[in-house]
Amino acid sequence: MKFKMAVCSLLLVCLVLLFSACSSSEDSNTTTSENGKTNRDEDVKLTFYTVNDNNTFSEIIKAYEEVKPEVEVEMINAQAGLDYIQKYEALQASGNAPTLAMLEPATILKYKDSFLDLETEKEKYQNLTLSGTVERNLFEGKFLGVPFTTQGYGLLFNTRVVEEAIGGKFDPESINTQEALAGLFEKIKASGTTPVIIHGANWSLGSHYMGLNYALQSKSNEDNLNYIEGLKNGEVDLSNDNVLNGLIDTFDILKEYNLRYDDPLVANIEHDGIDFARGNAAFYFMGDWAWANIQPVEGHDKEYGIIPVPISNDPSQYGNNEIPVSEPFLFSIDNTKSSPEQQQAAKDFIEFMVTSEEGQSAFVNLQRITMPYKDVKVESDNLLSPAIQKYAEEGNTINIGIMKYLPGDHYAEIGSVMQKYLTDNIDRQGFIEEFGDYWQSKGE
Amino acid sequence: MRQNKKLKNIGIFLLFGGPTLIIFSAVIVIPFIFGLYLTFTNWSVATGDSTFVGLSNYFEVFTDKDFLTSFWFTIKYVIACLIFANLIAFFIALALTSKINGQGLLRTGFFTPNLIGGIVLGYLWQTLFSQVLPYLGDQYGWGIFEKSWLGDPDKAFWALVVASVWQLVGYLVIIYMAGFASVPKEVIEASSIDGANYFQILRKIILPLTIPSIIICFFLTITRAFLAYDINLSLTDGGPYNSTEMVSYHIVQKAFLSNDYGAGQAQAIVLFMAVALIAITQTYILKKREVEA
Repeated sequence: MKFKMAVCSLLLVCLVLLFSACSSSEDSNTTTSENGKTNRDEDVKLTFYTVNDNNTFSEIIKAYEEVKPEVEVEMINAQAGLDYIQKYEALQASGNAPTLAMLEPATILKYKDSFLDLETEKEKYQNLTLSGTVERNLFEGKFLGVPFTTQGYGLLFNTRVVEEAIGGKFDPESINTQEALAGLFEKIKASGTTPVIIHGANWSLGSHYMGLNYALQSKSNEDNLNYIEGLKNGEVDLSNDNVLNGLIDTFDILKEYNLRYDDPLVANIEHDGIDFARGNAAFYFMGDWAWANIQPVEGHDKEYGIIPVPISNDPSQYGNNEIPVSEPFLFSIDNTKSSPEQQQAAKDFIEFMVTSEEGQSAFVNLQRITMPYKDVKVESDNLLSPAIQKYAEEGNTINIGIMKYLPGDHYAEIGSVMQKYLTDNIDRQGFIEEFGDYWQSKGE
Repeated sequence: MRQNKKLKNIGIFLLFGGPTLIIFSAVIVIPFIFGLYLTFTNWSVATGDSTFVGLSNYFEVFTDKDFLTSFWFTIKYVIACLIFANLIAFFIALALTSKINGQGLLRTGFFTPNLIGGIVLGYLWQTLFSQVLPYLGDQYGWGIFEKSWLGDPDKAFWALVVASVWQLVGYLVIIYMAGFASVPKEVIEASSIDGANYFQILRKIILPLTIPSIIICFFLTITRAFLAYDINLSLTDGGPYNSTEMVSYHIVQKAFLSNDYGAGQAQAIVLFMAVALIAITQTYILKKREVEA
C-alpha cells in the first residue's frame, strides 16, 4: 500500500513538473516577443515568415548576423503553396503575426491594415529599383511591401528551334498579331517540330493565361477593377468582350499546335521543361521561373527569348507588344504586435537582403530569381531573364496589379473551366457561360 | 472513510486519465465545439469579425451545387471501395489462411501499402497513371492506357478507387485473417464429414462466423473512404476540372481557398453526421446477423 502511494505521488510530482515546465517556457517566450528584447537592452529579435528554398534565407541570415550580431532573426520556414497562406492566416488569427513576412500581394491586400506603411522608405526603393517597380506594388497608394523578385511570362521560345524552322534570323517583334503567330506555328510544324507546349495545370491556365483578361481590358487599374465589378453584377456582355474572345481565339491556336495535344492535362512541369530545353517544342507558355527546370537538363539549348501572347490582329493592340511583369512576393513588416525597435531592425534587414552582395548572391544563385534592382552585383545564369528584363527596361510591360484583387479560388475555378475547354469538354459558348457563372457567384 | 475512498478514486482516475483527458479535450472536444460555434457565424480570418448568422450556413450547404456533386461523387467512391477492397481482401485472406508457401512474406507484401502515407502513395500512383502506364500503352498498343487516366473524369474516378483499394486491402486482410483463425476447426471438420463441399462451407459456416470481422472491415472502409483527403489531393488534386473533388477536399477548398469558414465548417458538420449515421446503421444491421458457433 505504501509502495503504491509512493508510486502515485511520484507520478503526480512528475506531472506537476511537466506542466510547470511547459508554462514557464511559454512565459519566457511571451516576454521576448512582446517587447522584442532579450537580455541585453540593445538586442533585438525578429521573426521572419518565408519559404527557405535552397537555403536562400538561412544563408542571408547567417551573413546578416555576422554584420549585426545584436539582431537575431528567427526564421519561420513554411512550405510554398496553399498551406503557405493558411499558416500565415493561423499566425495572424492567433495574434502571433511575424515581424517580417514574405507575402503575395493578394495576402497583403487582405491584411492591409496590419502592415507598417513604408512611406519613409518609398523614395529610397524608387531609386534602387527599376522604374515602375514600386508604383505597380502600391496598395491603394500605400507602400506596404518591398519588392525583391520580378517575374515575367508569355510565350517563351527556343531560338535555335525557331530559326531552324524559318531558315533565318528570327525577329520576335514581328509576331504581334494572331495571324503572324499562327503563320509561324504552321512553318514550325512544317519543319517537323511541334510548335508549342501548354502546361495544363490550373494555375498556369487560370491565373496566368486568364489573368491577362482582367489586365488587358484597360491600361488603368481602376477600369479593370470596374470590369471585375461588372462581371460580378453580370453587366458585362461576355460574347462581345473583345479581350476575352481574343484570348480564346489565341488559345485555339495554341491548343491546335500543342505538344500535349493527346493528353493535355498531364501537366508535369519537369517534362515540359525538358521538352522545351531540348527543342522538342519551339514555344512554351511559361515564365522565367521555368529556368529552374531547364537549367538542370543535360544538353539544354543556350538561347531563349519571349514574345507576348497576341490577342488580336491589330499590331498596336495593348498586350500584343507587352508582356506581364510582376512581383509575386513582397517583404512586409507587421504593425500589430511588433515594437518600433523590431520594425526598424526589420527595415534594416530588408535593405541588407536586397542591396548587399551576400543577399543578392543568395537570391540570384540559390533561388535563381531575377531582381528588379538597378545595381545587381551578381550575374545570373538564368538565360530566360535577359529577354524579360529587356521588356521591363523598355517599359513594355502589362500592369497585372489587378491579379491581387482576384478571389482566392479564381485560379482553381477558372483554371478548371479552361481545362474543360482545352479538352474540348465545352465549347466557347459553354466557356463563356461557366466563366460568367463563376463571377456572378462572387457577386451574391 | 467512504468519502475518503471516493476522493482517492477520483484522484487515481485523474492521475491516469487526466493527461489523456486534457489532450483529448484540447485537440478533439474544444475544436469540435468551437467548430460548431463557427457554423452559426460568418467568421473571417482577415477581419476577425464573427457576426451571428443563425442557420444560414446550413441552408447554404444544401444549395451549394458543388457540395452536393462532391457528396454524390464520394458516395460512389465509397461504394466502389467497399465492394472491391472487401472482396479482394476476403479472398486474399482466405488464400493466405489455407496452407500456401511464403505466407509471411505475402502477408507483409500485402500490408506494406498501408504503411505508405496517403500523400506518398498518391504521388506514386500519379506517376504510374500519368507517365508509366501511358508509356507502356504507347509501346505495346494497349488502348486503355494510351492516355493518362487522370485526364478523363471517369477514368480518374477508377484511378482513385484502384489506389485506395490497393492501400486498404492489406489492412483488411489482417482483420479477415484474424476472423478466419477464430472459426473453430471442429465445425468445419464436422460439416465436411456431413458432406458439405468447399463452397457450402464457405457460405454457411465461414461467412456467418466471420461477421464480426466483416463489421469491422466495412466500418473501417466506409469511414476511411468517406473522409479520404490525402489521396484525393496527391493523386488527382480534384482534377480533371474539379470532377474528382471528394467531399473533404471540397470542404478544405471552401474554407481555406474561398475563405468561407462558416459554410465550410457547416459542410464538415453535415459530413460528420452523415458518416456517423451510415456507419452506425451499417454496424447495427450487420450485428443482427452475427452468430456464434
